[in-house]
This record gives sequence, structure tokens and C-alpha cells, in this order.
Amino acid sequence: MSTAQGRPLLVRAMLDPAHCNGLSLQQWDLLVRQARRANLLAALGGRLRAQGLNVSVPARVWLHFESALLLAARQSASVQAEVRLIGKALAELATPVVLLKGAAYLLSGHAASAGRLFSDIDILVMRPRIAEVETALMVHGWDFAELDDYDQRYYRRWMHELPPMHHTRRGTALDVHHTILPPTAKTRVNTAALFEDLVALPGLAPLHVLSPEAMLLHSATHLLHEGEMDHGLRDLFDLDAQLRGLGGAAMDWQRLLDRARALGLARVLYLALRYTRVLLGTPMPEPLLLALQAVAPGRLAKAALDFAYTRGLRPQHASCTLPGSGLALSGLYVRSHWLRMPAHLLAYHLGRKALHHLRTDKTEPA
Amino acid sequence: MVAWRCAHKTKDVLLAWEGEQHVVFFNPNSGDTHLVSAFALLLTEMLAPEALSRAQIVANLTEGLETDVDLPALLDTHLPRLTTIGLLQEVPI
Amino acid sequence: MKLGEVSAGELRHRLSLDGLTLAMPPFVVRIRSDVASLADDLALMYGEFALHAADDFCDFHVEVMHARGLRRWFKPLAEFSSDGARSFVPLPAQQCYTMLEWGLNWCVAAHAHQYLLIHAAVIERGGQAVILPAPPGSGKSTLCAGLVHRGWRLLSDELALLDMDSGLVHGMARPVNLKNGSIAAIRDFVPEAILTAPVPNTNKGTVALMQAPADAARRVREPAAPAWIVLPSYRAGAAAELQPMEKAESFMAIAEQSFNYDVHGALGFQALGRLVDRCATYRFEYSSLAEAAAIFDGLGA
Repeated sequence: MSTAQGRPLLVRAMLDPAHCNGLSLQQWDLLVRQARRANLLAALGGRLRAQGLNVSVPARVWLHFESALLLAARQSASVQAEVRLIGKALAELATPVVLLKGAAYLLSGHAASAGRLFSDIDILVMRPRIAEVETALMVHGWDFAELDDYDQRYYRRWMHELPPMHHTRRGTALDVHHTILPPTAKTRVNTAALFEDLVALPGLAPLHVLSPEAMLLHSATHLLHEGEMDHGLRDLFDLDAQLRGLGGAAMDWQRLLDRARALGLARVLYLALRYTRVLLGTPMPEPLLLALQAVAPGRLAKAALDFAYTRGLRPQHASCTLPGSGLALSGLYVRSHWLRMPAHLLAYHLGRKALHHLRTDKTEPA
Repeated sequence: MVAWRCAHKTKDVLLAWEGEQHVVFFNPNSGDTHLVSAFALLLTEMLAPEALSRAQIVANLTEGLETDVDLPALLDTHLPRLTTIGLLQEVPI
Repeated sequence: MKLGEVSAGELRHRLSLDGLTLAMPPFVVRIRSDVASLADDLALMYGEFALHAADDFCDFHVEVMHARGLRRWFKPLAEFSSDGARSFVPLPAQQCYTMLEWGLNWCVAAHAHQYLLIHAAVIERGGQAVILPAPPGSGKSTLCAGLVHRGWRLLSDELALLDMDSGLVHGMARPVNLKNGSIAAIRDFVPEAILTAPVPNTNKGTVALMQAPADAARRVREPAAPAWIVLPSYRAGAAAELQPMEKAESFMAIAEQSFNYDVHGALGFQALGRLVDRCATYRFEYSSLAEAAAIFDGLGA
């Protein structure tokens, strides 16, 4: 798989912010748009600022980065406050509550949290305790969005989470999971193993985060199993940050490999490393890649996945479309649902979702 | 036994104008902004230097206010609400 | 070169290709559209605004394009997108211009956090501004449209941009949004006003846009110092009357109408505090535009 098509301006700027020195106004224009679509405007602004390069950005342009950074800072403060309240609500259950994704990066001080825009908070709890968790949350003011019976069942039985919750007074969103992939998915995750090496957050009992290796594997899973690619590039950068955080080429790769195997995620790790290396040039240990060759998909499957992901992982902006992008994106959507749900259920679900969309189609602007 | 105090620097979190019935409170921890009665200003000024119990608050207020005001009832309305929004804190004594 | 100096045909052509780069101070906007009538609406409403070079940095890239599909031939729909992402549900193509105006408001409200953004009208006279925060149904736009033809300069109908450092408020001198009965009321009160043709069946009823007076467009880059906050309320049959309003309540009224007050945290709280502090604050009830104009004439007298 070659990178002859060249990396988008946004990727080059993220990997090396000094690349932005001497950009024309027209190039800045393109960069801001790509970054906005990829949800990376604040992240890029943070990288520019960290290297003192913000002073060379034209003032009119910098205003956009500054606005994005302000939003990210505000959301970050909100998430911190919200996470504390979640912890308090669940404290007496004496069961680990594991923060996932954005909230986890933020609370563990991970580089991936820089300039992040958060939407929901995701937590993972042990399946046998989920009913109590649901009750405790409701007692403290969380409730479910209105869902019909079908969607309630979709979430509870087939997916890996309670239906989305929101706090009735604060309006904040919360997703409660009991595993990281649905029980019906083709990739079977050893969830019990996830709980084996949790990292407690000091002063925030019962809140935990996954171990660095497990967190990385979760990000890899998320990247490869998500249907909508609006955050694909951002998720890729998260992986890049985590790989570098583990030491890049010098990481304890045996440990990562062992955890991947224990969790049933070796193939997922292979693919994630493949795309991060090719698309972002992330440093990683050769022995790890060699060891994972054994679980690589067959040649044809690999070509198909490459086609889909090299396109899906570019910024979702017209300037970055390669031939076949539309097909790739819809392919990812179908693939992602296929990974989550057996074929006969998928057909039923997609059919039903399309009907639901038509019925509730309003004619006023959002 | 419970007492209340105001942990905030009132000039940083309260906006009040002479003679008005209401006051604006900004909670820097939650980021929320609230409109509260001017009575809240009175309470925060009293509770900023030190925590006071309900009995002590009543005693202080009795000196300054007209006697036909039902102070305990007024406090019953205000203390919980001002604690919920974070202007006041409950402390055990 | 001003938008009004370009021929209609040329405008349509450029709009449908790479788009127009239009100064909408304090922003620069790239607009693209394949709906021919949009070019005419733009020429009517933004004739005084300057065109910029195609390679300039644009704060927002917006498009209003026909939705694809068979519907195009009998009941065409148009879609608004910004930075390439579709932002709203498609609407009948007839509403493309009102959709563009809403979309532009959305872009500013979602991104321009260098300002404290308030959903309010702003008018100015003698260097001093009135801010009119606008809960729905307040009649703010009708009042604004009337007053800017009776001695007041239009800064904004919808979006007040407060510079938190200087305390000055900026506007964009964009068209005023009128709906239903207001359209006739303004035609009566200001026979010389330039309005688009009314567009029926929008989710707000029948809507027409009124061009900003030429002087307002020419002076769009001049901010103003806020001196009054007036919360308007149209009530049929009411006599025009200003009632003093508590500053604490005015604070909340403005915060509630702000798009990004909470994003600014403590700094927003302090900036709004300073704003309210320096302004005389009122509620205003009215039904007759003539009476309203007379009352406003007395402000600062």
C-alpha cells in the first residue's frame, strides 16, 4: 500500500506544525476547513501554540484556532465536573467504574486529550452490576432519552450498552457499557480480562481507567469498528498519541502483544498499527509488526480494508476525497454494523432505521 | 449539627446593584449562573468570614431586620437552595 | 469592487462555479450556490458590500445547493452546508435565501467566540448603542426595522458581537428578518424600504428580508458603545412605554439570549457585568411603530 497519493495538508500540519510556517492565506483557508471537518481544529491549535508557532499565524486565522481552543477548554472543565458527579453517584456500589475514550484521556492526563471536543461520557461497568448502576444513576437524576421498544432492545440485548442517558437537570450525556464491543459482534472481546489491570484515579473512587495497553487496544477497536468516519482521523491521531506514549519504537511491545492476545484483539491491533504507520508514520517496534503478521487478514480482504480505510481516515472534506471515497464510506458503515450484528439482524435493523428516518423527517432547520 | 459558610470571594462571584431585589451569582466550579434574591447577598456577607449555625444566623438577622419577618421560614427557603447552587456550603460542627 | 457593481448574469455564473468571496465585516465569507435566484437576492441585499479576491482567507465557506434526486424537477429542495458539511434538513428551494441567512447566523454563533455573542438587535445614534435582546415573539425585528429609518443606524438585527475587552459592540448590517404581519407594518411605516419578495411556508410563517440602509452598510466597520439595554415586547394595542428594569434581571435576560456566554466562563460573567453596569436598562412595550420611534427619540435627550 503506497502513500503516493500524498498526505492531506491537515495531516502534515498535525505531524509537524512547523510545516505551517509560510503558508499562504489560501492554504490556511484550506487547512482550517479540513481541521474543522475532522474535529481537529483545537488539537492543531494546541500543537501550534505548544511550539510557540501561534505568533506566526495570521491574526484573522488564529481567531478560529482560538475559538476552538476556548470551546475545548470549556468542555474539558465540564467533563471533569461531570465525571466527579458520576463517581459520587456510583460510589456506594463499590464496583469499579471505568472511564472510556475522551473522559479517560482527560482524567489520566493523556496527550490525546489536548484540544479535544467531547460529546458524551462513556463508562464501563461489570455486567452483573449493570441494573444497580442504572438505578443509582436514575436516583441521582439521570434518565433515558425517549426510545421505542425496538431501540431499547437494540441497545440492551444486541449492543453493549444501556440506551443513552442524559442528566435531567444538567442535560449532559452518558453512555453506560458493560463491554467494549457488542456480545453479537464477530470479534469476541475477553471483557473479564479488561477488568484485571485497571488503574484507579486518585481521589476519585470508584472511577478507574484502563491500563495504557488496554486503553490503546480499546482505541484500536473503536477506530476499526465505528461506522461513521467523522472522527476517523481524530481517532487515528489518538492512537498515534497512545503509541508514542507507550514509547513508540522503544515500547514494551511484548506486553502490548500479550494483552492483545488475552483480550482477543490481536487482529484489531494489527490493522490499527498498519493504518497508523502508513497514514501517519507513527514510530513502532518492528518485532511487534512481525509478530502480528500471523493474524493479518488474507490478501484480498486486506486490499479491501486498505481501500476503505485509506479513504475513510482522511479528513472528511471535499479537498481530501480520493476516487472511490463515497463507496468506501458507505462500505465502512455497512462493515461496521456487520461487525457488530449478525447478518439477519443487520438487514432487519438497517431496514427499520431507514423507515424510522423517513417517518421522523422534519422540514425545519436543526 | 450543621453550619453554613460561603467559600467564595463574593466580589468575584456576585454582582449586585444598589436597591435591587435580585443579585447574580456565578459558580466558577459548575460554570452556572443564577439569579438569587438580595437576601442571599446578606447571607453570604454574614457567612464569608465564618461558618454559622441556623440559630446564629437567626440571632444576627434579628438585630438588623424588622421583627415581623418569619426568619426561620425565610432561611428554610434560602439555605437549601443556595447550598444546591453552590453559593453556600454546609459544614458539620 | 462592490457586489452591486457586478452584472446579474456574471453574479449567477460566479456563484455557481467557485463562489463569491464577500466581505461581511468583521468576517469574510465564501458563498456558493447553484440556485439562480439566490444571486438576485444577494445583489438586492448586499449591493454595498465588497467582493474580495478568490484566494483570500475566508472565515466561513457556505453553500446552498439543490438537493440531488428526482424531486429536483417538480418540488426542488435546497440544502445548506458549511465547510462541506450539511447543516440543516433540506428545504424547498424557494426558501434558499432565508436558509442562507439562517445558516450564516449559525456559522457566526457556532464559531466566532472571539466575541460574546448575543441574540439581539443593536442600533446606534450619536455614538451610543441600544441593545435589544430578543426572546421569541418580542417584536424586536419589526421595531429595529422601523427605528433604523427614524434616525438610528442599524448595526444588527440578530447578532450582537460584544468585544469583551473594549466593551464595544459590533454589528454586521445584514438584512432584517421580518415575518407575517410585520412585513405589511414595515411597508406602511417605511414605504422606501427595500424588501425581498415574501417567502411563504417557512417554519416561521411568511418571511421577507429588509435591506440594511445604505449608510449602515457603509459604516458597518464602526462599532458602538452600549448605553442602553431595552427588552422589547410587542403587545397589540399597548401604548409605547419604557419601564426601568433591574440590572440583575437585565443581566439574566442578556445571558439567556447569548449563544456563547457559558463558553466564556468567569470572563463572560465579568464582561456582561460591565456591560450591564454601564447601560441604562429598560423593558419596553409597544404596538405602534410611530409611538415607539418617538419614545426612542427621547433616549439620551
